[in-house]
Amino acid sequence: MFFNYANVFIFIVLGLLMTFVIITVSRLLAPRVSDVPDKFTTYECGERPVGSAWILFNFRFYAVALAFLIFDIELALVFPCVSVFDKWRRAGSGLFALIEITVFVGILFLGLIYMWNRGDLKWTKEVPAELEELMMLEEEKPITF
Amino acid sequence: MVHLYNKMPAEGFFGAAFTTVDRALNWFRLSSVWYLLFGLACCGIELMQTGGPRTDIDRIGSVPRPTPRQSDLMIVAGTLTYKMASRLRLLYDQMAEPKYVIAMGSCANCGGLFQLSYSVVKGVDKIVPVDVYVPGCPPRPEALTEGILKLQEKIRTERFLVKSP
Amino acid sequence: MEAQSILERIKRIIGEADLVWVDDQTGDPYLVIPKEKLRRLAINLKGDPHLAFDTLMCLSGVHNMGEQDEMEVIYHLYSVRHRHQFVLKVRLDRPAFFPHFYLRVDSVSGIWPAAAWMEREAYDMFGIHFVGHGDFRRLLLPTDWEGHPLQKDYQEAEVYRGISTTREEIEGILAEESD
Repeated sequence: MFFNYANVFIFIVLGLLMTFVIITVSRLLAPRVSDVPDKFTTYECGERPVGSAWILFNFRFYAVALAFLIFDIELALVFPCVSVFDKWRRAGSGLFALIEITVFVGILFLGLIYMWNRGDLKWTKEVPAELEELMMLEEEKPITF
Repeated sequence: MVHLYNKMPAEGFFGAAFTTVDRALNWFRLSSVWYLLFGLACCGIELMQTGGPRTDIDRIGSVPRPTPRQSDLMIVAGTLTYKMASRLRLLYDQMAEPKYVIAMGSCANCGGLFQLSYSVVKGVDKIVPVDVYVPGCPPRPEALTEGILKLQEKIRTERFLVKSP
Repeated sequence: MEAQSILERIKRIIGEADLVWVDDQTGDPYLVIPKEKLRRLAINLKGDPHLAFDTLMCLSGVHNMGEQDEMEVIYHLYSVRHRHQFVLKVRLDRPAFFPHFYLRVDSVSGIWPAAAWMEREAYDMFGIHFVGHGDFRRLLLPTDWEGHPLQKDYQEAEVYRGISTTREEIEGILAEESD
């Protein structure tokens, strides 16, 4: 049984070896880096960077990324379960496996319904009409005389 | 960290081995001279055409890169003004060694048509060291290809690992 | 409206003193006004419903070094509503001592927003100051450039930021040519 892992082990070893060999050979063969401090400045099409590189970004990206991460991991865990499901069925505990995987997906599905209700699946939230006026920025309000 | 660059002997058994390794390494390097897109003016149009389908410098290994970090060659195509000169120097510094510069067109070679102007740098070799000068206004794509081939000749005869005399 | 009738309306707005009307058939006719009258005239040219010059097509600087050292600012105006155009000139004397105290004109960038960049260019190239401009600085040349290049007596500096401004000939090549 452990023989299957030997394949993965060899891949890991070769991968690490390749990385180290490439970097080492590159380091050995490379010309001397010139000692101009400008070489290590951030590339900004020739201009010198001003200010910090950490910018404020829209929080919706975080919400979408979080949701994606959770459901991606769920997917990654469901796939191996599905591939050995036939073996479990033949061993008699097919129903047990089915219930277990349904409970897992169901819990995360509840999380999806919560997000859906909050409106986090849409890019712009729809706000009921009474609150719309209150939530507009000063410069977005139409000018009336 | 040991650096083998320019330190290997040129004579003897090891000399023969390392000069062969040098020939191989130079062949690898000249066959993939990636250039930094630096089209400043009209020569930039001819630079685009040289990378285009008819005169395709991709067939000699040169693909355009937008960033200096991934390019070996900077083709300065067009008129350089004093305002742009500091940006040119910064981009040249940000390229990794070994790096080369081709001055394309009259304006990059010597200021060209704008020799008497107050705002034009009279030749990019006042800012960066130039390896190949390609004359023309603008040079035809075939002329620029010839320039890149001349650069490849220069790379072929370079001493990479072997000590320079 | 014809140029002559525009001129009549202008004379009623700012009076007849110190106006020079040049209408030889070479090029457009133009009106030379003293610089003190510029601002009031500009506001009226834009606001008057019969004139309605809503567009400043071009604002240029000129340096004339003939018998007299003077600079001009030329305004090309166009009316989209009435489809007529007009040319205004303001002449400024350029004395030898402290010229920048005398080369001052009222800015019209509050009246025609297009003048904002055009006046910056006129300053960049000629050194004419526009009083009342919101964002007055050089437009095309680098900010640490010294001098105003399109003045007729402009001397280029030898070195700018370490870059020499002339192309020195290479010794060997010159020797070959003379042989």
